Amino acid sequence: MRSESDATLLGWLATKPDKLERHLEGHPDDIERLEQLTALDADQRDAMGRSVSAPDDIAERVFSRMQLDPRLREAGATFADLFTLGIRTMRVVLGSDDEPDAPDAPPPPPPPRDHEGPPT
Amino acid sequence: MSVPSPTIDDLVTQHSASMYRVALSLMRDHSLAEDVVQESMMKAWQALDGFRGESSVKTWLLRITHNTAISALRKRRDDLMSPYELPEQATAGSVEDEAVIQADAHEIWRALRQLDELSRTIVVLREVDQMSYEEIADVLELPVGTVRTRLFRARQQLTKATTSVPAGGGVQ
Repeated sequence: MRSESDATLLGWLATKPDKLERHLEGHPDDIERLEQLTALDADQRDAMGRSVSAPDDIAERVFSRMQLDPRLREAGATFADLFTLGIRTMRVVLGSDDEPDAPDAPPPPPPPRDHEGPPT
Repeated sequence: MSVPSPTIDDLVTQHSASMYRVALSLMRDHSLAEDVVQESMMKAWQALDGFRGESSVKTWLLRITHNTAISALRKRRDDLMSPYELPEQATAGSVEDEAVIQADAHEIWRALRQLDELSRTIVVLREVDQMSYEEIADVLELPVGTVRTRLFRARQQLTKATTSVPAGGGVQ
């Protein structure tokens, strides 16, 4: 089986993706060429990374929201075991000097994310 | 020797950001993306004992996130169409409205949102999370060839869209 020209591969990509998919199964060289022909540059990848970036404190926010979830509260016996790191992290984030609370007294959630803040 | 199971601490600290990116690529809204990550993490926590390590933890979590986001979209739009074919719908607080995104990131986001949701997720998993085609296929439960072709096509569309926007035209 022979490889196809760049123009043919790009044409199939635009109009006949199913045909292209079948063709590529037997043509690893053409896969590599399409990788190069369609590759994004570093600036595009960097911009994309920023456009879908998670908040810096996403883990703390998830911990906080999960601690308030009624399904987890129903499993209160394992609460402290599950979230020891989360609680410790929250204490650091919130700057609390208090002694550790009982397992059923999680720290308050962080303030809402500032959507209007400057880029980081 | 068996590998110890990950704890929920591990899952949240190591994988929340990747889960958030997948959720955001589908939901296109920060608040909804956080809702999806929380719900996905709860599902993972409930299923953790049954996780047998047949795929990586990350792949497993991202599959849960993807499926949770698709369910959320279906519920939100109250529509029986394929979620990949649903019309675009801007919401308050949506990514494109926010000033926190710099101009070039805003421009690529505008191009991303022109893609169908499946292609958008594939591009993010490949270009941002740098996952292999096999891993992406595992997350999305698609053939590897389909993932590859979708990615090539999406990249081409992104490049075309971002090079055809006139200077200063990225923000409305």
